[in-house]
Amino acid sequence: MVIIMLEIQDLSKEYDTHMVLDSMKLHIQKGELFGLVGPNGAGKTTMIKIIAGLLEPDAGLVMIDGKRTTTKERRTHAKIGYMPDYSGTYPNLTVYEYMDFYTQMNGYKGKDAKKKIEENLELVNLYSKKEEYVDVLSRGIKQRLCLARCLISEPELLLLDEPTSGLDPRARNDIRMILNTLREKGKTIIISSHLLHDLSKMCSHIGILDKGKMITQGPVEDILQMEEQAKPLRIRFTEVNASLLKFLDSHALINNLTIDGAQATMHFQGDSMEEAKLLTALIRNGAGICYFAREEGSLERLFLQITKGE
Amino acid sequence: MDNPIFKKEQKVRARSPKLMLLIVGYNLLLLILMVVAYVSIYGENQQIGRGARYQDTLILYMLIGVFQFVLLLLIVPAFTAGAITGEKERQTFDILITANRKPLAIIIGKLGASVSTMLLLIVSSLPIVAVVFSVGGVSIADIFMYVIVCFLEAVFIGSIGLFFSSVSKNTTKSTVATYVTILLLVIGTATVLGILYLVVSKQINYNEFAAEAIEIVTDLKSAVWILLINPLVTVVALLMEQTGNESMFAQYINQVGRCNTLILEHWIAISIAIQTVVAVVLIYLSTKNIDRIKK
Repeated sequence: MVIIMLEIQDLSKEYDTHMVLDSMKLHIQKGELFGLVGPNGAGKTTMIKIIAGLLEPDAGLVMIDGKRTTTKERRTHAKIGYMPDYSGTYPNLTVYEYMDFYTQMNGYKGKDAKKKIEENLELVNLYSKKEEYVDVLSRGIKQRLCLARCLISEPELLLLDEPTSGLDPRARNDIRMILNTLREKGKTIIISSHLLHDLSKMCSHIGILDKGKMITQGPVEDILQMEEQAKPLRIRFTEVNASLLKFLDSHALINNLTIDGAQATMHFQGDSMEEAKLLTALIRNGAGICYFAREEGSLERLFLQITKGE
Repeated sequence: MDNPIFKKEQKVRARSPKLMLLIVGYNLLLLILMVVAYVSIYGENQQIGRGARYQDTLILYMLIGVFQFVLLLLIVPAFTAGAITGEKERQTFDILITANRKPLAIIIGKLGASVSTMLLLIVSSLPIVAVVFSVGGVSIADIFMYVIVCFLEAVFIGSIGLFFSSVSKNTTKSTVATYVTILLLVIGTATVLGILYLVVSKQINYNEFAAEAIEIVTDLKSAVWILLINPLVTVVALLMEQTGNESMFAQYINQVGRCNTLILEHWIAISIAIQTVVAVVLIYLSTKNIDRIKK
């Protein structure tokens, strides 16, 4: 049975005539690790803050586990754990005291509080650092601590805004492993980033946000396939002739063909199998090929590709 | 106080060198005043061979009491004006407000932490204030009542700072607004009365018809009630009562305004009640402000 953990309908938000979210729609199933990717200014943080109850939308509906959350009065969303894109901490508090403060803020006392702190610190591998002061910790460790903090209320939905931003590969891997553990425990996680490949390594589903709109969403394999296909294909020939040009121009999967001397750059909509067929066809047609590869893509190319396809 | 915000603030503050510097600076200023006042009052008497006079001790007590309260008027807003804006600037506010705790607990915790710092300063200064015990005239009960009134005034002043902190975008704006408000309460109310006093005097001097003059004077003199909201006047009233000068206080009030006997007799209680009601309203508004979802 499919349970929808988060449903967003026609969510809109405007700042000074700038449309940050534009009739956004999204639904996330329980247990998904959903990656929200988009460039800076796409609306990722705004969307996450609205779900967390920190911002009021101009229009639209947010439902968490079937319950409407957008109201004029803030409700304490016991089901949500929120981790912003900055690890705001207090000076002069140890890791244990930091956790103790938030544990008490969430209503735990005495032995229950102690047990909760120890469990969460163990989960993020920070128990050995419990006596260290928070403000001297590295960014990666602070992020793990913030993750431990947002798990205190035992939320069912985690909202993580750029949790791996600015982290080295090892620290990113640590966060990834913790999130996988949380997913195995049945948590629904929304994680935002501007790096598609970062999210693709841990998410089950990805949504691409641009200029306030969810331009596409789906299983990570499908999105990666789209991203791969958005990368331009570059072929360098030994010689370019009219029949070769005619072949390339008339190919059903080739768009935006540009020729620069002996080099052809194109947008190729096929997968790797289609690429192999193209290469085979070119060789059979007598083309001498020095170089045949996909170039580095970018999210902007992917957005252009998707929006052009619409 | 079993409030996590209160406990956290105490821990963070106690570990900061700023608190130590504040206690030292506060007591140093008080000590300098005490020494200067003591030498001025008793030094002359010693030179001409007279002993300490009871009235001089009371003057000393009043001076210290007023000076200490003025210092608190300057210190308490500095803590509360940045209570909420500081969290926003440190980027901890969003995390705080999404925790499973009522916004009122956050406001009370912040206020409690600031007021407790004030109490710490007063307690730390007791050895200096205790000089007045050495020559008699002031009892421990008087000191205790003074501390209670200072505590209640700190709640009132602190609530003003908290309110501006909950509506301002940054600590600087909040701090300026808080100090301007306190200035208006302490000096502004007295200034308004001073101006009215001049107007009243002019009306009496220049008005041809005595009956009309009396009517205008009576109406204007009712404005003395605005002094009930002045925290410094409340503390001065207490000190004057404790030093047996309540009739002098009544005389001063009647010079600038017209106040019925009941209010004069219970000036301290009534002014504290009014200020406490204002504090409760400001705390309620502060809670609503931080609870409101940002647009």
